[in-house]
This record gives sequence, C-alpha cells and structure tokens, in this order.
Amino acid sequence: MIPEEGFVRPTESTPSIGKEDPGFSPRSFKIAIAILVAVLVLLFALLIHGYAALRKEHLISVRELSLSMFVARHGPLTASETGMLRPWMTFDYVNRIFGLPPDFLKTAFSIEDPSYPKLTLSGYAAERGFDEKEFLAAVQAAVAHKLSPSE
Amino acid sequence: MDSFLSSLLSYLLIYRYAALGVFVYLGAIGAPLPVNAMLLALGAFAGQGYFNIWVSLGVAAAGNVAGDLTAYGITRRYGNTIVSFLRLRRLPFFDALEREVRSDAAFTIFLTRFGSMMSPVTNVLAGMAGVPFLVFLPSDAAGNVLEPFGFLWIGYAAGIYWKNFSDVADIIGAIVAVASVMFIIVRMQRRFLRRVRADKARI
Repeated sequence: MIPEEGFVRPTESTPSIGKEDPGFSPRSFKIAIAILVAVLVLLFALLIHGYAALRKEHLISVRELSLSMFVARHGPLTASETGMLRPWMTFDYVNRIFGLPPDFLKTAFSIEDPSYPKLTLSGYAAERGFDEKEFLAAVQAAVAHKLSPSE
Repeated sequence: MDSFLSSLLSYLLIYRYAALGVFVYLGAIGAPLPVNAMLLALGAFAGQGYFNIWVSLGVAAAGNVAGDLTAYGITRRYGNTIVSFLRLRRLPFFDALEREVRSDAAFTIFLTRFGSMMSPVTNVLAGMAGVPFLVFLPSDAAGNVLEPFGFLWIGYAAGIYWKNFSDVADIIGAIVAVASVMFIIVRMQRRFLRRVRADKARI
C-alpha cells in the first residue's frame, strides 16, 4: 500500500535511536516526568484550595451534592440581587435577567441613544460623561425600586 | 474581574453568536483570550435564557474546529518550509514529539483538546507530521464538542455565581494539559527504551 503523501508511518526497524536522538537518555525522561509530577501535585493543591473557597461560600459541597441548590434556580433575579449588576452588562441583558419590561431602563433614565438596548452600562455612562460607579448605583437603585414588593 | 474579560463579555452580549464564533476561533489558533471563562459566563447567560445552550455549543465547537483546522492546514502546507527556515530539524526533542503525534494521532489529538494550551501546539505538530485530514478532523471535532460542553454546563449550573468557578475551571484545564504532556512523555520513554533494547539485542 502506498502511504499518503507526507505521512510516513514509523516502524520498529527505525535506525538506531542512539544515532537518531543524540539528546535523549533515560535520565532525561525521568527528570521530565519528575518535574511534571511536581507541577501536577501543585495544581492539585490549588484545586483543593479552590474547592475549599467554593465550599466556604456555600456554592458547592461534594458530600451534600449541593450543586443542585443553585442548579434548580434559573428564574429572574430579585431586588436583593441587584449587587450582581456590572458595568459590562448591556441594558438588554439587565432587563432580561431581572425580568423587567424592555423599555424600563430607557424610560427610567430617559435614554435617547438609538443603540438602546444593545448598549453597555459603562458605554452609556462614558458617552454621557457620568461617573461609572455612580451610574451603576443609580441603575441598581432603579431596578431594586421596581422589584420591591411595594411597587 | 479583569477588564479584558469584561470587554469580551460586552461584545458577547451585543453581537451574541457572531462574537462567540470569532472569539473561540481566535482562541483556537492560539490568541491568548480567556475563552474558558467566557464559556462559563456563556453557560450562565444560557441559564438565564439570554442564549440557547445548544446553539452556543454548536457555535463554540464549530469555531474551535475551524481554528484548529486553520493551524493544522497552514502547518501541513507550509510547515516543512518554516521548520527548515528556523532549523528546528536539529532539535531531537522536536522530532521525537512530531513522531509521537504521528504514531498515535487520533488519541493524542482528542486528548489535547481538553488541555487548552496543548491544543494549538498539537495542531501545529499534527500539520508538520502530516497526520491525514480524515484522522485529524473526527478526533478534533469529538474533543471540541465535549470540552466546551463541560464549561458551558458548569456555567449553566453555577448561574450568577459563574465567576466563582472560573479559577477552578482554569486549574482543571491546566491539570489536564500537564497530565496529557506526561502521558505523551511516558509513551515516548517506552518507545525509546523498546528501541534501545532492540538495538542492544541486534548488537
């Protein structure tokens, strides 16, 4: 059978490895493996540390299989979760995750930008010369007010 | 959260699947983008109903495969010219790695899809070693469906807490990458020792 162009199958009868691979020795393999084992041990230690951090925040627990605790909840966010708002989020996304009407933020902030709602909070703040943190706080307050039980 | 990832997420929310495809493609050809963290966030967005998780998986897998095929295709076509120009043929370790990829191509390609930083390196080596396209594509596609699915699922499950899982997901990716390098080196060592023994027996 003619091998495919550029694909030469190696055989056990390859010429002496000593001539072909002058840089190799069993010792060099052992050193490489030892270094990789050390790196793996370090990474596992970091993984355990990461798991401990997640467990401390009550986000995961293998023993209690508490992943299901948050797997089950995918509904709109509530007024107490407005702290999750970030400047990189778009108005469209904010309306969606809090289950707000599409024009709620447009009306609340009198936004006239034609790109609304495909516009980030930080982008709009920069465009209007607002302080990003203050604007984010104002959006949080508006969303919390809209979602509060008295509303 | 670093501002770079924030910018990526903003583009993702604005341009949706088009942005996802472009970012994953660039990540697959070796651009240093936080693709895994982005997939975690995407899983969370899907959980909130902002994206469809299956369309996201399809776009991510297609972007990954396209990126891998780009690197593989370029090195398969021009690899030898580049290697000769850079005189890499003189490095025995490079030759041995190339031989290793060639000798068990399908499994090596599939395995390295799970170690993010190993994937672009293997694509280049597979192209240089002349691994046939019909061996490269199925292994690459299979790995590229499973790998983003893992990140999307974690993000979907974690929801608004996806960022808390970002570091752990990166560590798991690094463990898989190191373990796959170790696996390849152990196989190289076995072949090396087998050939040394064969040489001795011949003498």
